[in-house]
Amino acid sequence: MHKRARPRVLVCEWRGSRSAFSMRRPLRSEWVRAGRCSCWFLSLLQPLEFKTSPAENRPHSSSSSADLHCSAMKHPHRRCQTPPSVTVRVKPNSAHTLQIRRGLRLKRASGQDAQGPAGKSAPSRLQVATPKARIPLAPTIVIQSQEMASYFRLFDDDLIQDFLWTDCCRKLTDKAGAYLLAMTFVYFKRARFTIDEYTRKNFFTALYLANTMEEEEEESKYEIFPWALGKSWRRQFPRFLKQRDKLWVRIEYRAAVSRRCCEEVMAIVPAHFVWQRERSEHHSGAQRQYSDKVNISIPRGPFASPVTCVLCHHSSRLDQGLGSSHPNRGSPAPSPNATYPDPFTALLTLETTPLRAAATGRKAAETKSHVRPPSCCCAEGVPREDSSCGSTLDTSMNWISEE
Amino acid sequence: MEVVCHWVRGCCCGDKEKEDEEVKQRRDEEEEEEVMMEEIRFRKSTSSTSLQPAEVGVVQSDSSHWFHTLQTRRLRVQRGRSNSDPVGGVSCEDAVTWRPGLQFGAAQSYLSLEKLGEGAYASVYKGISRINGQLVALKVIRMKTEEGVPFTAIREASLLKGLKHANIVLLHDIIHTRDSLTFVFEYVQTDLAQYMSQHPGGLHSHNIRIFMFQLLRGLYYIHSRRILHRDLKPQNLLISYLGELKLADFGLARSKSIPSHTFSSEVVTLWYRPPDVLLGSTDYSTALDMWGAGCIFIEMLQGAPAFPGITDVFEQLQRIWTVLGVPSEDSWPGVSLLPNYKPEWFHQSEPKQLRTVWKRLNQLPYKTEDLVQCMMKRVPTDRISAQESLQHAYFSTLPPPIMHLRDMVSIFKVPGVRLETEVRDIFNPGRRIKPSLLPAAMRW
Repeated sequence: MHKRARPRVLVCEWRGSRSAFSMRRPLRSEWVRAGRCSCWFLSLLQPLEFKTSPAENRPHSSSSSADLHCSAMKHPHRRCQTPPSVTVRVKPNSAHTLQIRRGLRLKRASGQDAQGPAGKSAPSRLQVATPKARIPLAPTIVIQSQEMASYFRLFDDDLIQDFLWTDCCRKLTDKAGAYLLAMTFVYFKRARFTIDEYTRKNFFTALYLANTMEEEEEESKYEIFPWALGKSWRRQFPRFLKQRDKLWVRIEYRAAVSRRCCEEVMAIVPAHFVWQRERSEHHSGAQRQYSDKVNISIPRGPFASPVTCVLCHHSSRLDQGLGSSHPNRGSPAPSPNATYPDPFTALLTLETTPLRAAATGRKAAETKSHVRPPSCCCAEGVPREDSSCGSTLDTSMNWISEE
Repeated sequence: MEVVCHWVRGCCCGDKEKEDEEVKQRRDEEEEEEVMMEEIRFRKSTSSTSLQPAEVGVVQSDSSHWFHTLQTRRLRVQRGRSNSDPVGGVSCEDAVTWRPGLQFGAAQSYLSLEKLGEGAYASVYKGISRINGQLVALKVIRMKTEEGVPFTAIREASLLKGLKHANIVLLHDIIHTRDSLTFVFEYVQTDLAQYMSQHPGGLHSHNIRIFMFQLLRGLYYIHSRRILHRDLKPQNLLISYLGELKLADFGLARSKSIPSHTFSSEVVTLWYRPPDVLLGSTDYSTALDMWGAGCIFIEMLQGAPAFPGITDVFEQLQRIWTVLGVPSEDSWPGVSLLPNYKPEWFHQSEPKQLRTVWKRLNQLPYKTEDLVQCMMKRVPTDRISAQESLQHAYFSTLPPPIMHLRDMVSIFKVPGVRLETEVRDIFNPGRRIKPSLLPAAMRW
């Protein structure tokens, strides 16, 4: 089975060819493309940042990534425009990289320890090469194209699509939703998920964790429960929360993600529909106006139509363009260990199939299947079964009909 | 959590001053003494205070070995930031061989000694690390089986993981077992609330400057990372016996870097909550913490809270208006649109001179009042930022190198920076003030 290349090894490798300083700094920003190795170097691990304004952040991702982006940009539709997956060549066993890896590990250990006055604890870190390299403490991560692709493929999942669709007011996943979804991906990276762990279940867990960090409206994130757990969510949500806690441990308790980091993730495929979600003005800020509707049970879940939102009344779904597709191909089974049947075959397909043709076909299917109330204010009680999933063969939807 | 570390009176509070002097004279003996002290305390409390009930047995059976570990480590070293590490931070890493089985993240690596405090979602114990002998504060989070880890804990740890600064409490370790979650913090002796209650009637003006500088330095650090503390109050500012101030309790803190999220207006203890948030604004930013810092500034000067004793948002606002005047659309565009705005305030009071309200400002140079004034602006956008405030003339009397320290370096590393003895001390009422300190004390 495929093993991901260890990001840090890559970083060190690359650094070896340049000055020590360049090991970390360029990683702040762009992808670095050298020869056949196209991978995205990002400073994902740095939880917090100095630079804040979007104006400052944008340029990081623009210049060097431009040529990689442009091929994707040519396709006007919003199909997942993931650049082809490329094998990354590494020499993980060189003495140099090993030493640095050890240094990094050591640093983490001593970082948890009393750090004391910075100068004093230096002796233990002598292995970390140069003092210059120590200044930005931001470890870096490399995003491989197949990881990004696998993440985008999650949005082909019917359930996730319906989830995003039903979240009509974009309270859960909005423009900041772009950010929340980017955070979710960052968690995937920090958790070092393998490709087969890019599952629906992990997606909901990570999204819930992102909401835990960022949102102060408790109710809105509960909406995730029925989607992630099915009808019996009331029984199962403690387990779901345990999963969230496990994920939190797995990412070494670093659930804080900086804006810059999110923007770097989004910059990889900036035109992807996932990043295009906008939160409507009237839902920013903590207004809590919807919580006084006591009689409406929250969360609604996939079984009921979304709550009518007066504020969103005019915002039509179609023009906001959740340009999603309904591929109806085998979406992950709901079990915890659900995997894509074969991510590599899929990736290959992605690489070789003319994207345009594939996507237009899907688009047609989509428009057909999405004859749903156009806005978020669908009437109460539209049965879930009517909806588009066309899931006769889709076992992942079985839980919907089960009691 | 109300407090990370309460003062342990018997061991360090009452004798604080004496201890300060003694530290210089007999560093060596002290190493031994502290170890012995802990040993005695441990004997008293073995039965009840170990981290987990299940762990008691392990601890007891292992205790002789533990004593041995501590006793053998009487290091003859210069003590650095000795408040939180009895064996001195310097040689720890060299001297301590990592014992197999004792590692970070494991419950048996720490012994809890005594309970220090109880907060909303956690209890705090004083503890000792068996890995390196450091004193630690153990914040044991209560976990309800249904709800998993409280979101406050998730936020606090996630944020603190990225914050390494001399004026932010240091998160050493996290112990996560199936049914408990414990944060291991550096141990700091007291907090500003305790410190002020020990020295009533206002603090020494020199010490206020040192505390304020550290508070603003810590705020500048977190604000530059787009993090809001949102719960500034004296109880959450820990003070080491050297006088180092550390921001603690990030349970309400959050990052504000990601755009347009829901923000709660129910943040910050009422007394320290800025008028815009009291009015119901959720569009707050770093200025939120600056108001709290201003309130704490006044509290240190006066020895009493700036806007105290009220339980209701409107009364709280009323009290602020009495001093700063009722805002109008002219002085604060958009104020009347805020949810809690009441038009009937309109005819009320005019802004007062701060020195007439808080008398201590009268006795101090003008720049003190000026800084207070800059921090206590009604309109959040007018409020001075932490970065600007560090440049304020009020701090110009501090040694210049203090402005150029690296994040993890305490300001007490700068020669000449030290706390003065407070004039009043309820634990030493009859104490004679040293002649050398009198002029400083007389100044106010």
